[in-house]
Amino acid sequence: MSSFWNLIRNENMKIYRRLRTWVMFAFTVFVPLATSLLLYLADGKEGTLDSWSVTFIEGEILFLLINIFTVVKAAESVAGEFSWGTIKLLLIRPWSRSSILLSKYISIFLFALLMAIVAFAVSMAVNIPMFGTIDLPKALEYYGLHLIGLVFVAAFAFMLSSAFRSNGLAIGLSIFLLMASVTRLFDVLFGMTDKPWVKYVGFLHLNLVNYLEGGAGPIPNQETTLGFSIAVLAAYVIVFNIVSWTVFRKRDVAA
Amino acid sequence: MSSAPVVQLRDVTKRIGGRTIIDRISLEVYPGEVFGFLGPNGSGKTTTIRMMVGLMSMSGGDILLGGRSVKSEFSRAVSQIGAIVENPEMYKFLTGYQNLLHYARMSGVSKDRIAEVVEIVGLNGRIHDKVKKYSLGMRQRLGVAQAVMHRPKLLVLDEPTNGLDPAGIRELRDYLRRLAREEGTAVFVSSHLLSEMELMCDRVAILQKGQIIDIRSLRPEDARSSAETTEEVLFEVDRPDAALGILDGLGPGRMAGGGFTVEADRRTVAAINRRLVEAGIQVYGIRVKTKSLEDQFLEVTGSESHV
Repeated sequence: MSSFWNLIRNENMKIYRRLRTWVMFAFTVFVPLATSLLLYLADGKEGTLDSWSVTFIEGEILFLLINIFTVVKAAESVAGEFSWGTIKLLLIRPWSRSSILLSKYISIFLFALLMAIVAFAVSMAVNIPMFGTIDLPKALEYYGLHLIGLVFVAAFAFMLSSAFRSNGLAIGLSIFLLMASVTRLFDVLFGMTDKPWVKYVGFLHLNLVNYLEGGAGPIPNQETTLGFSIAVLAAYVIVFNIVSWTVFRKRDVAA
Repeated sequence: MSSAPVVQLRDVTKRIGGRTIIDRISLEVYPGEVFGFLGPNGSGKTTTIRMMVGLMSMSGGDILLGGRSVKSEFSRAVSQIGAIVENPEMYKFLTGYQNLLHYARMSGVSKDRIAEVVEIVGLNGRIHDKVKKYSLGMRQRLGVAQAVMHRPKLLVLDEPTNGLDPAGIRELRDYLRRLAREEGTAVFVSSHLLSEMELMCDRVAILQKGQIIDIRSLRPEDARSSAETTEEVLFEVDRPDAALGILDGLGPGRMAGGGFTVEADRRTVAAINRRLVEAGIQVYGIRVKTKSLEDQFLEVTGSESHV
């Protein structure tokens, strides 16, 4: 019996030994470089832009990308094994299905974290020389808030991937959710009511960035705290995971 | 076959949506034995194999691998098997070596052992190429490598000859027989290719509509153990019509190409031969007409099923 770490190494190998993964990383490097350069040229001599606002603009683009990349990888991690047929060889090893799913979970979150770190590093490396110093704790908090939302989206993608074993459906629905959140579609919809239950709708809490600088939170017409938002998101993530785990453990591998 | 069975199926049943796919199957496979699992398409071969390796759950009964239950001691049971389930599906974007490394890490196999199996299956030159560049035969060999790498007590193969050319089939067959003979590995192989199974297996179970209708040995020494058994024997003679005329008492003969056939035991065969020689009939050959597995298969499954 070998250690659980070996399972994570396997999942990492399946993530990083693919060219497309490096294309994703290339994007997370290219986007902040290009954005900063563009804004620097557009800003001209006056220099009205500061480091924080540039980092914020870049962060919004970057996290949209990182979310999408994570969804793609999370969906592929489970559904891919089914469509490649490798699930048959993967599940007949002396490991429980729960361990295998957990290793996939961990490797995907490591992947998302790594991309966020790369994005942050590149962003800082170009913005500080070009636009001056930045409030580092604030920038880190901003990234942290985005990462919390990312956990929710990834858990959702994992659930769909386990439930439907379909790459396309899992990616499609997760990105729909993401887009609805980015475009504030849900906010418009739920903004029409001020019923108290609205604050328990998980998707609305994805815009945690609203809490920056003492904001009132992401729920239209209602004030919430960051702790409350995280609790709601966590509850949803737990439910998503229970569904993923149950389906993945019980499922007959037929095809 | 005195040692403890490697595989025991006990009243294994699978129901899907009210339909009984597998109906109380019981069988045992012993070390060093190549056991064939025969049946028409849709008879439940693949389902049974999937239950053996834990890919599907059982609705009833249990499967023991080396005495460990697949249900209650999954890891311990399944660590004793190696499997190629249908086509050897591999991670095409990884190299052959990375694929092996992937499964080696899961079973605690050393890198030396990986090198060894690569040698055995003859992939040395191409092991660091991506699997997407492999031919089907090479993928099949990689599939064998991942299946035997951790020295399993039982090797399970589901339709292993699908898509292989005759040379590849032969290679696989020889390798499986050697593994069974030299390492005492039990091999459980499913197929609908009767002629293949005939060459490969020591025993076969015949499955039809989810039930085992027959388990029989294909080893001639087992089937022909008794002197009293009668078999269809072909006599090649120069004048079959004359020969048939002098058979009386020794059984009704039938004309056949180049001679005649008769149902006879060993002693009768000798008696017929003596009578033919004494009558001056030239005897060119005497041989037992063994029934092919196909004949036997059709005999037990009836003509309604075709394979």
